[in-house]
Amino acid sequence: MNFRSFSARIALLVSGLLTVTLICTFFLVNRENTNNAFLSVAADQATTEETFTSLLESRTTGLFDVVRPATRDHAFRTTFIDGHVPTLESAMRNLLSRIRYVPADVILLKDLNLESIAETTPDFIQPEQLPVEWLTDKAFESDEYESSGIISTVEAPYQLITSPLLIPDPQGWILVGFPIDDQFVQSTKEITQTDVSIAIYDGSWRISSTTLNPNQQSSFVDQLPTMLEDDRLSIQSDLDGVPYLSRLRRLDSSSDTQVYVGMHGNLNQALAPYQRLNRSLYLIFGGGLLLSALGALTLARSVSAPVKALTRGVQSIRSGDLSLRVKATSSDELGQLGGAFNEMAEGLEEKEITVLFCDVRNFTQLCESHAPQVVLAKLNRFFSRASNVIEDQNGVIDKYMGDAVMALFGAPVKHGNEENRAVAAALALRADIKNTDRVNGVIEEPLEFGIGIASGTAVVGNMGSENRLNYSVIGDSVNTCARLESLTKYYQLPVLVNEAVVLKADQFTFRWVDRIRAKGKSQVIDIFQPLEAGDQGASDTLLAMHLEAVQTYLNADWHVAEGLINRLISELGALHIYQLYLERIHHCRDQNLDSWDGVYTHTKK
Amino acid sequence: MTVSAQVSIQVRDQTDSPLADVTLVLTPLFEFEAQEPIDTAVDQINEAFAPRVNVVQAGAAISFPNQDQVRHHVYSFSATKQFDIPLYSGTPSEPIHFDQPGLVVLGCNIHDQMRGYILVTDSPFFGVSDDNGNLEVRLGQPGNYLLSLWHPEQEEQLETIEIEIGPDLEYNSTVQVNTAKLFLPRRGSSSGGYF
Repeated sequence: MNFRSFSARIALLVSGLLTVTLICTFFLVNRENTNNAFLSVAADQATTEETFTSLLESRTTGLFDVVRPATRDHAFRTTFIDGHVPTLESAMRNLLSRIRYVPADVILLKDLNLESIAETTPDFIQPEQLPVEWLTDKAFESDEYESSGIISTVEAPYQLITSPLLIPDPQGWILVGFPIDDQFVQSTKEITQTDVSIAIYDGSWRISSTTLNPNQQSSFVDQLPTMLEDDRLSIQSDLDGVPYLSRLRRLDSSSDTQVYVGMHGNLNQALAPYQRLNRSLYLIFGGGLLLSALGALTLARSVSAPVKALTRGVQSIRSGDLSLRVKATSSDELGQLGGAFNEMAEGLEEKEITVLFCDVRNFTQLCESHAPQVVLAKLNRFFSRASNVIEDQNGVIDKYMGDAVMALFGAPVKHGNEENRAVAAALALRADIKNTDRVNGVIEEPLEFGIGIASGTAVVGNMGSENRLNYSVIGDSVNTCARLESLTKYYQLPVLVNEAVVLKADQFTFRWVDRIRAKGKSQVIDIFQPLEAGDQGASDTLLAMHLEAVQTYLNADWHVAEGLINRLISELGALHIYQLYLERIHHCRDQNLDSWDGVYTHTKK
Repeated sequence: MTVSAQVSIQVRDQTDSPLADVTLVLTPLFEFEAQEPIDTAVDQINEAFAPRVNVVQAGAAISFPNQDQVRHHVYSFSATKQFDIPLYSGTPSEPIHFDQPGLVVLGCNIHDQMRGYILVTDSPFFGVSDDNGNLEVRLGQPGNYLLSLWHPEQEEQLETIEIEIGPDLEYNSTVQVNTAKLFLPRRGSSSGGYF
């Protein structure tokens, strides 16, 4: 596994997820903001419409408030009955001068047949052409015989109010009006900050007043017919390259004309704060992405570094260096894993141990000549006796392997004197089998077995997978031990030990057996046989003779060696090892070998 | 002159409720003996003319006693009789003479809502419906008469009809007069009547 790519993958994953999240967030925020901008423009337009309407209403109410008393004024009534037009017109101008806050400049006096009695208007208005009939018709429908509404003039639409002249019954109409002009739309814009236009249709569309610039104005006029076909309250339109949301409201006007007030909300302006927010979001998102990528890398490294260290640790254990420890400072799972690794390495330390290997001989033949149950019973009795004897000597059964037993001395707990106890166990097992192998009072044919004992360093500890840990031992001494056991058959000896055992097991007497190179091994070892109590060969004289024979044999002093061996045979009987020596001596002498180094290389296991 | 005839009319409006303040004038279509007009008074009580609707024979004098604590300024700009009695309380010393037949609309310069009507007629035979919508006119003699009804809030000009009253005969009738909020002739319609 490539840790570099592991960190990169985590960083990429985190950054990728974050990017997706950020893009979604940005998309949603943007959409919401755009919607909000639209909504706020639409709300502004509603406010503007309300402002426009209430401005119109308040001026209208203001007019009524001045005109209504006048129509009931005794002097005005007297003047009206008197019928002197110049005086009447003067009285009407006087009335206009009382209307301070409404810029009214049209006043018409009509009789009940709508014949003009007197009027005061700006020059561009032809009083007789003003369509006032729809206003008086409307007045008839109201409780107070009053009405108001819009009529268009060449300059601007006019809001006219109609009030009856009561003397005290109605004798005529008085109509007073003010223009909805530039000043009016400007007043509206000052309050609402929204552009306002007045559009009039009397054969064709024209803008009488607007706060838009001339280009936007003509753009608006062009789009007006299309906008009017649109049912929506606010319509998005492009006014001279600037996106606007326009809302149209028809004003109450005479039927021969259409008067609309248009409210134009600048979408760019409404979106400006959101665009500022978007820029901030870009920065925050970019920064966040960078930080999270760095954070993810750091985090990934904080994971991969201990994993790398652990991998190095495992590799070094595999190559035999058990001293390596990983740093496990953190308290998280990685720290625990490091701690567990260290504990495992601790447990895996090389120790000086003694291994005993005991294997039943001729097991295959035994199986062939006996029923499996019998074989199993025999084996079980053998193993239970073996384990008893071994445990008596503080040995630990490491494992049973078919017809073989492997036992450890000095691990997991060191008791001291391991070599002596291993040899004692081996000899006791020999004696025990000889003495007590009987079943139901019948002496059974004892199982033949060989034992190998080897001392040396080995790695001991819990081994295996996480799910199945086994306390065991691995090392050259184990292999040597197994070899020694298998060699017992070749030498026809019950027990063989290596030199390390001989050096430590001071309670026993050993006889040198051979200097060998085991199969598949380059190392040369000396192997020995522990002598059982009461063995004839254990006497000092014979041991000394044996030593001398071996030394001469090793030195290729064939003649002396042969003599000594023959003397030993005469004392101890024809032990197999002595016959092996003699065969080798004869062989070497016949071959006239010069390269004798005393080492016998086994070619069989 | 013991022969007497009587015209009784019950007036209802379009909702079938009794209608007060309906005037009835019966003009003989024959030579008749002139009678002295009877003077009367139109009081102002609680800022209203009482009675609100009056009929007098031409030549009658009407006084305008003010029964209220506040002053009134009664006027008329009607063509039949223009006059005004500037702010006064109590009964003005001089009554107003109504010599021309026609309608006189009374107003007060102080109180917009005060509105009164005086119908001046050449005939001595007239009456005004009471709150129950009943109206009775005693006639000096039988014969053919022109019957005309009027109400200040009438929706349209009421028809004038000719009736014949025989000796010892009574004329009983129920008339429906549709009323509107305030009579105002539309442009183009014949203004007629008393305007």
